[in-house]
Amino acid sequence: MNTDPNGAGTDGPAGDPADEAATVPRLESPDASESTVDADSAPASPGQAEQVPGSGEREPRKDAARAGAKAPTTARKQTPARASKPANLRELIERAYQDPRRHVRLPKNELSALVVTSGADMPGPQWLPDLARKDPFLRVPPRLLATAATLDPNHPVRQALIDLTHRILTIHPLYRHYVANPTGTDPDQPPIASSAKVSDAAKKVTPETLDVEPSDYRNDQRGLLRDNAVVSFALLWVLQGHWTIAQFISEMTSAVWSRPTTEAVSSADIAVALVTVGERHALNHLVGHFLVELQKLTAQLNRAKDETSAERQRADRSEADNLALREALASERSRSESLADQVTALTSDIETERTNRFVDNSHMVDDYEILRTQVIRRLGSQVALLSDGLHALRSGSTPVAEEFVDRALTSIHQEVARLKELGGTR
Amino acid sequence: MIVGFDFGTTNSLVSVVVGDRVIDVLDEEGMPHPSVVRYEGEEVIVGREARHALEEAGVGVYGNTVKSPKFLLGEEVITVGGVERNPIDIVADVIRFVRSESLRSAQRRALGQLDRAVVTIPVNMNGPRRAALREAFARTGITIAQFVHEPLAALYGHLRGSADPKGLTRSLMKRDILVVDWGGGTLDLTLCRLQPGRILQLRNGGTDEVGGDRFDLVIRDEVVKRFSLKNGITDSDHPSPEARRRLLQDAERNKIALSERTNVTFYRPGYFPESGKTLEYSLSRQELEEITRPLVVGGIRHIESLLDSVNMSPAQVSLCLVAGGMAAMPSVRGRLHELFGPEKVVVPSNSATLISQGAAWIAKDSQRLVLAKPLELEMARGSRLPLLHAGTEMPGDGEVRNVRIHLYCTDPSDGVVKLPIEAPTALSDHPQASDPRTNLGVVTVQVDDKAPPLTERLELDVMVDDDLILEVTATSSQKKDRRSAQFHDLEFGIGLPESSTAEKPPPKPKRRTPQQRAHGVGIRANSAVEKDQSLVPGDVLYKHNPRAFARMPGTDQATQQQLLEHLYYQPCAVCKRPWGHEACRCGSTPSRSTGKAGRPTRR
Repeated sequence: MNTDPNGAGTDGPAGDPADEAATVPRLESPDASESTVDADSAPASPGQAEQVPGSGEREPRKDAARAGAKAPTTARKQTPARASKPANLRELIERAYQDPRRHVRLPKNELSALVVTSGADMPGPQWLPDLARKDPFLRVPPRLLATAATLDPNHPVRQALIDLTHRILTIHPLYRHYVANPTGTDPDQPPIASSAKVSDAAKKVTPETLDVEPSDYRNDQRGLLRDNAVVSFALLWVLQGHWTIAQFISEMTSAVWSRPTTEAVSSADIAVALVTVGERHALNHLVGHFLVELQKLTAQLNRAKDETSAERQRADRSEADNLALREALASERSRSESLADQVTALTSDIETERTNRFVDNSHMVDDYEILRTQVIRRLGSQVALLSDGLHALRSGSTPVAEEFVDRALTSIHQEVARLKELGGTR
Repeated sequence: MIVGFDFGTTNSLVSVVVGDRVIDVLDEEGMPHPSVVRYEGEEVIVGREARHALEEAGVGVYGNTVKSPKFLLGEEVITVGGVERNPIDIVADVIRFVRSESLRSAQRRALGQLDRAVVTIPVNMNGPRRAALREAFARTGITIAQFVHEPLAALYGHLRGSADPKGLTRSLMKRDILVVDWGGGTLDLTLCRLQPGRILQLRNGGTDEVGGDRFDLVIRDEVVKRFSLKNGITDSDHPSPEARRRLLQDAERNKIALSERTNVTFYRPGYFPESGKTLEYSLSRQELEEITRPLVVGGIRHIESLLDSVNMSPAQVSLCLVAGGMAAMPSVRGRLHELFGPEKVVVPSNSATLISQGAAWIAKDSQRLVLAKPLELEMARGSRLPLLHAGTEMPGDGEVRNVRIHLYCTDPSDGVVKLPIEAPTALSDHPQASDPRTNLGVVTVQVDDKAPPLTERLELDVMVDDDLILEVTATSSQKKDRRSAQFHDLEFGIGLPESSTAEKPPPKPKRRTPQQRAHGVGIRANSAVEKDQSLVPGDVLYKHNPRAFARMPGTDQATQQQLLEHLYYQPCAVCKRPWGHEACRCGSTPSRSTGKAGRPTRR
């Protein structure tokens, strides 16, 4: 792993150190063991100390690229004057804060030999806030974390340095004011989920909160602070083991490296920067990561295409089915309506038929009753007439009997004729 | 299901329309149920059985039997067989019997519950009797959807039941039709006119003096009388009631038989118990006509009188529709043929049940009665105020139609306001002032005789109820008097079964001659709807406002007519004689009553 987080590159006016890191390869072989630290060394290769976010005054990208191209030469021109070696972490950190723009380098053995258990290294030392206030744009924390990364993971100096850097971050107004749980150490608060939040929080920081003059906090400083904050956060998360390198790359890509540049950079500059970048492993890893990501995405894309195709086919089939069902439904509905109409018509017909049958039945009953009662009436009256006629006959009143019989016969004849006529009309 | 119910004087029956045909629900002999009820202890016998036991014709109470109880409605209580009975209960017994018999008949399925009916009534049935009849129906579980006059129902039934109702209606459009309902108990008459969309009654009339039962009675009594004369039967040889009853039935049967034969023989063995003689009498058609002529003539006279009351000659009648059992009697038909012409006299084959059938059709068609003529109030100076307009729909079951009118008294000097209620004699939606009127009656109400004219207010409430009774109530505001009068003799109209637009010009009505105008004394109506001084009689105005008669121009000056009315009561200024005195030569006689300036000179 590239232990130099400042390989993120120079934070130019466009504020894109990630791009810078990607475009400035180191020509030396990246070897962690030879990461010699010179406590009072000049800025290291552009791809290293001097190119990390917050590594001093901003330089144009072209300068950075040129600086990167001259890195081997510059490394060899380090200042011979060497300061005394720091004995403990406090001194190391104080050295770093003496000039936040410069990277403090120590050999690994010296770094490992730093006294960790000094009282000054205990949690909550008073000197730490005083030092932190000198670095409003967070230049030092990435360097301290990069230094810690050169040690073995379980080395006490590494852990102490990480913890101290963690404390430095919690002191900074950016984290103090805008991030509820800046380092995720508070179990009662949800950890920060992404570096994007840190980036957003950095945008909201004002000169007053940083305790700097507004004239000292312009766009360049804003970009510097944002990048350093994100890089510090990302490195801290990686060093604490919360993130994998893949997560780190992803977070950095989304928060820093993918930010569009506003400065025109020539293809030659980019090419030179890429071949002169100090940490080839990192670049290889980065490229490998993106290749893997690309493969994953390609695979996902292919799967998505396949799925889309399958879904499209399924949609086509569903559409066809839907259409067929629609037509079938319409047909069934039409048939249902037709049947309903038929039912209505048949119900009406039945009702009409029932009414007609009732009417016919009533009329037939009435016809029968008319006929029956008329016959009863006629026969009844003839019976009375014939009875009187019989009485008259027996009494010797033959003319009366004849008349009554005649009347009765006439009436019966009329009735018979009427009944015959009724039969003829059937 | 609403049925037609003819609760007739002699017979009653129910009819109902099923499909396009009307069904009569008759008794076992195919005849309507006789409207006769007999009480034997707790037993109530109704119908033919009760009638067979009756030897008398006419209406009323005969021992324990009541015939035509409809005519007893309106009385508080009557005694039947020594028992006091309420006529409503007696009528309800008959209705209940008809209902139960109908619901037991073979045609019962067509009747439904038989709980609602259009009921026919005679034209001269008054308000209390109608209300009592409604109560009687209610007691048997039948509500009355509407009353309708019997002859009007007969005409509707004739038009509706014809093979071509539309054609028949068209042929009679704007024509006058006389409906003669000559049944066993009464002769009911209605003169109607067909107008676009409706049938309107012009005039109603009727009598119960020439009913068919009286014919039977006269024939029986005359046969007995002639036989007794011929065979020397004494008056003491009195036949038994059963023999008399059977001879009455013979009379009924033989009067019909004489329509086909020239002679029939009355043969009743042992009719005279004292002498043991058998009644045997041959009656010719000519004798029958001779015997029944007074009754037939009496009936025809009523018909002529009715036509005369509306200034109409028989020739103006386009159709004489004869309903009722008497239509079968040749002498009746003959007289009607003579009067109207054979082609105009129609005796339907269903004449015996035509009224009930008409009621059934009215029920089927949901027809509502309307007023045929406007009802008017005659006011001062001969002006008329419409109370109810022609075409006003009559209220249905349980409904009431009412109007309130505010009036003033123009002449309170006699302390009485006279409110004559009138209707135009002829049919007209907009009668003119000169059109003759028929006076229905006068409502009088007391007012303060000390009050000036046009001061005391009067309230006139006009109400028509579901019994088709017009009730006019007048109330005086100061005197606090309240008087009412009921009028039932109204003419109605009903929608036509088939409306027709083909119209023929109506025949010109016969003009009333001056001699035909109202005779006797009249009343001077003294009410007005507005405070108009010119409506006040001159003599009354002078008492309250003498300045109106001063010789000075002014807006409140008395009119010429008021001046005359005032001077009429003043003695002659010259000779001091009263108005019109023969000896007066000063100008009080009609020809000299005014001076040069057109003003009376008597002063």
